[in-house]
Amino acid sequence: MTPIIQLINITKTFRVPTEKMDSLRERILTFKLRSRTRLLKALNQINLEVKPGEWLGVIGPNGSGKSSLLKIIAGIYEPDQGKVEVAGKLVPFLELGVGFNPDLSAKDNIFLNGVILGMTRRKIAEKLETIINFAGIKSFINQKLKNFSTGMQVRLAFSIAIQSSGDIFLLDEVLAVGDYEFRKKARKVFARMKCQGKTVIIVSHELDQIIANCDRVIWLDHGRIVKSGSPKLIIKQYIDSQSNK
Amino acid sequence: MSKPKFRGNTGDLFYELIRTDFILRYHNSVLGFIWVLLKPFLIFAILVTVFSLVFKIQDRFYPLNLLLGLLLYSYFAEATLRGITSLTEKSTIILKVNFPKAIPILTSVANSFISFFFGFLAFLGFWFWVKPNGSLLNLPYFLSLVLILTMLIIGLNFFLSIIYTKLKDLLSIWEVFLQLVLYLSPIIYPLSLVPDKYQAIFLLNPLAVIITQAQAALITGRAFDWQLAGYVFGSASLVLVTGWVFFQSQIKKITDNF
Repeated sequence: MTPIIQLINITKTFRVPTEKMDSLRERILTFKLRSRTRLLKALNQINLEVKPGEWLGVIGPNGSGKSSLLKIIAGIYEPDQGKVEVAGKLVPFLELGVGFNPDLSAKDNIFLNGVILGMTRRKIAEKLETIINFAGIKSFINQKLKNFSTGMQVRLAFSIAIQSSGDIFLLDEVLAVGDYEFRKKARKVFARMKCQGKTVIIVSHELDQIIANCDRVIWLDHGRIVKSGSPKLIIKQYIDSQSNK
Repeated sequence: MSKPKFRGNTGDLFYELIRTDFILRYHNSVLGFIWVLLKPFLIFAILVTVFSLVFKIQDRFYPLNLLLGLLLYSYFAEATLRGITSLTEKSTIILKVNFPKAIPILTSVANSFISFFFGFLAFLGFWFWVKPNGSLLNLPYFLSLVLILTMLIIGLNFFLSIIYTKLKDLLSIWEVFLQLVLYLSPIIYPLSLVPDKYQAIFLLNPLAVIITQAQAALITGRAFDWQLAGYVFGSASLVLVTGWVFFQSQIKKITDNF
């Protein structure tokens, strides 16, 4: 089967300033026109193929390059080297409620967040009722978002997100938030996405969740894929290596 | 297979971002939109009073010339000031979703254009009251000038927005520069006040040309200078094209600057 996502030899380096200078004034005052930086290899020669309908889990310690990997796949970061190819419509959930503005009403935020996720205004208008009901905020629809509790905001963001249609979904720790009720709803949505044959990549520290949902797991460390294989096996090895530290 | 790209509806995204900016700017104050119109007219009132009464300028069309010049200048100043910060303001979205990055820049220009448009409607009210020599049949020429100005603004914003992500004091530098442009353009004084031998140099400033040509078309009724119009069109096109090339070459690296 031809892969739906293909990464060939991806390398991404960041310049991390040891002293941040982002004004001309600072540069002139310190007589240096270039700020001092060191290079950080976030991803190092990554090769990865994801098949259509596959659920891939990405694990690894903080700073191992998990989020950078998703951002490369989403086209947010440009790799220094290598090639990314994606066949199909991709929906990135790297954060719930991207573009949410506290001074706008819930309804305005639904439209704003929806178009940012790639939906058309017409489709959002059609789904508006569903989104409001799913989030359970019917009586607050014209209230400003800043009057919402954090939990309500997350529920709203999640309700919008699941309405966006795509073939590939990238989830970065988005399920780490939310209460029991919310997680139950999320599980249902996951089951439906699985039935529809969507391709999903999950970055998470909740290893149980990865075992429950994913077909394959890759383990990242210092920007390299250390291991790749069946979730139970890889996660067991991962846990062993972390507790030996 | 292809490179990952935004497959949403770009037009809808553009519309929602303009709408958001608009709501946030005007709904949060009691007088809302009126403030935006009031500001240029209050500045206008001050300048008219100072220059007609104190310096005793006799020209009957002076207030109208001043108003039109101020409107065009305010459009330029507001659109570039908003354009500079447009990418940085949207950095949280840029870091989470891949979408055409020219959209925030066009949004900032579109919103400034809306204020300019309503200001211009108010100007037309004054126009009918004063009844100057210029004819409204010249509106197409005037609109072409506005289009050229818009091209210039977008081109500049392509440069400014990218550079601002690296140099945050560009905003202060640009504010000073805008003050300089205000006094180097025939807004508060007529072009005739500039000595003849300096006029050629003076008209190298595209804004000076656009303002004098707009005044000729709508107010003074003087003949158009097609050569000057061609010059501003050429320079605005050049800024727009080089700006776009610069923007395209730099935008891929933009996420590293946030």
